[in-house]
Amino acid sequence: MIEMQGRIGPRLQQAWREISTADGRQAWREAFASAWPVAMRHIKREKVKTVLFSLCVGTSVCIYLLFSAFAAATTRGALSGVEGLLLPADMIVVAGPLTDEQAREVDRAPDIDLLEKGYWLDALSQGGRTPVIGLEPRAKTMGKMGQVVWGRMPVGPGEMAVPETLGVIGPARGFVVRRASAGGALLEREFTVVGAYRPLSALATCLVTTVEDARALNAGLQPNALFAFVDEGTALRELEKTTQRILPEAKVYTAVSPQSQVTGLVARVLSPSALATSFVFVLGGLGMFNLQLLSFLRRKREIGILRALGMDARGAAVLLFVEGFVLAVIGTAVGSVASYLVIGQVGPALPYSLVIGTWAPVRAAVYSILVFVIATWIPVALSARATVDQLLYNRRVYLNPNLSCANCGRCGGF
Amino acid sequence: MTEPLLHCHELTKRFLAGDGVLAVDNVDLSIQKGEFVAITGASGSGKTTLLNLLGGIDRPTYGEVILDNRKYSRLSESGLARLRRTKLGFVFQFFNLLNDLTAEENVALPMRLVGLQQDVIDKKVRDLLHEVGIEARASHSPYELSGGEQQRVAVARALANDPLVVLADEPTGNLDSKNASAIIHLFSRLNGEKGQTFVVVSHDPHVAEAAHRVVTLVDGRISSIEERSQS
Repeated sequence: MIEMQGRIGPRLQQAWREISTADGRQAWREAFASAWPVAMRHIKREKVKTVLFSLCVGTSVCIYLLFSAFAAATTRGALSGVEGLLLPADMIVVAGPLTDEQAREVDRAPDIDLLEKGYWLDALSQGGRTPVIGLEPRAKTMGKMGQVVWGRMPVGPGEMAVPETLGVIGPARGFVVRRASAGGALLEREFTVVGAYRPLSALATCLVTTVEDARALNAGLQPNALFAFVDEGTALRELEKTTQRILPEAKVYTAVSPQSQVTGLVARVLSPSALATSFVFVLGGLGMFNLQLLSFLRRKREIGILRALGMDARGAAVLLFVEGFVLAVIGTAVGSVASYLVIGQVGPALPYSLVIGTWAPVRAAVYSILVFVIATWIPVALSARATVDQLLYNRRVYLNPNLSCANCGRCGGF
Repeated sequence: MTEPLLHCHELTKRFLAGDGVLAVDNVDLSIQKGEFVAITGASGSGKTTLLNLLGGIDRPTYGEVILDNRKYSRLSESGLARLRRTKLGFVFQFFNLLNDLTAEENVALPMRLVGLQQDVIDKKVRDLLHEVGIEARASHSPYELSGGEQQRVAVARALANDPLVVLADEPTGNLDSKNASAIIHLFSRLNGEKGQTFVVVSHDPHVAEAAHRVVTLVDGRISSIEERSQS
């Protein structure tokens, strides 16, 4: 409570204090009970306003749901084209077999301490589609793969270390890795699992073999990958530049690159739709605000009568709020139904599946209620802050009830 | 002398617009229970402003209004609203019925505001509409009623919560002579038979004739108070 008082305005504090007491709750219930029939009658009677208000909300909701469905479909398509890559190192460069010259240049590269050659395979195993790396037993990368949980890393032909997640199978023969050769033949090799390691990060979940086995599976004589472990703070761009200088045709992956590729792609897809959705909701909100304000100004006398008869400011505020809320709910329902109908009609003609996500209607409802609250706030505040005679005799009302403000009138009021 | 039901002391209202207009100037007035008081005066003499101050619709610049020992100055806005819905009834020149509601719903409105049970409301609405002679038009909307009928509905609404005082602002100002006469007769009957206190602002000499006292305002001040004997 103390924290709340420090954070929110005095009016909200007062409302909170009232709700905290039984009398206060009873007063709010009475305000609601007296406002409800008047609000419902008004909604029934003012059909044009009801339709316009519902259109504002409904159109926003419908467009939001359509955008979200299109965005989701596009994102799904984009993600299906991006394959996540689990890296055994902080950077991996995959190319065709390194030439002798390139291999020598890697060996000479003075600015990268842990850059070393190895084999990289994308293969099939009992663990599913998985990367396999082949390293010299003394390779630095071997030691950097992560903590050995049991057994040891491979040191000779036919041995393999697996990530801990696969290591639960324990030492066993018959771990088979297959790979299609360049000529289309299926290369197959059986390994003994000699150890399991806990990867340094979730990225490195490769099967580790020795160079000879990897070379046999890769059907190549030369290493085809460079691995680089970099310390925190290393200028990764520089490292990429160096490795790309050595292997200009190579594909460079860094620990962040697959993720950033996907994130960037999704962001590119979502940004315009988010912008358009925001724009649509702002337009809808402006429409709602105008309708609510117009309604309030047209009904000042009516609200004044209610206030004169004894409805307090809270009741008047509840009246407008209830009307707006009911219309927003109607609009949200109409917009949701319309979007499903549109997708039902348009979806089959599209090359990709258009589906509204499970939470999209909920998000649409939350957005429309937020927009409605913001749009209704000023009319509600005006009705609550205006004096009875201002309302009853159709005088100008001001957001600031301070007399000096009301009597200055430079801003014109409402 | 008995304690007045409604009393105002040094009541002053100055509107700050322009050079400032003194609409009500230092008015002292006491109204006893069961009285029928007419407030008359030329246009702009401050009658309606005085009535609004007595009804708690507007706040005075200076002075005090006391109803049934409750000082308005000590009441918050919601306290004043509570007072208006429980102790006061209002009748306006232009009826001020809610067009969205039927005649009976308009009469029921003040009772809804105090949170009465629906069956109590229904019974009382029937009684009140019968009392003002308009029960046959109960389910009609205000725009389906004549001016006289609308004003009867407004009177029934004013009586809904058994107010201590009914404040009427030019209740006959928008009616033809026949309907005006009927409304004055209704006020007189309710005053005579039920002891309902009325404070009526009016130009209509027939209202003044029906009143126990006639208070005349000139430039916001009471220029005369005329006691009338009722036959």
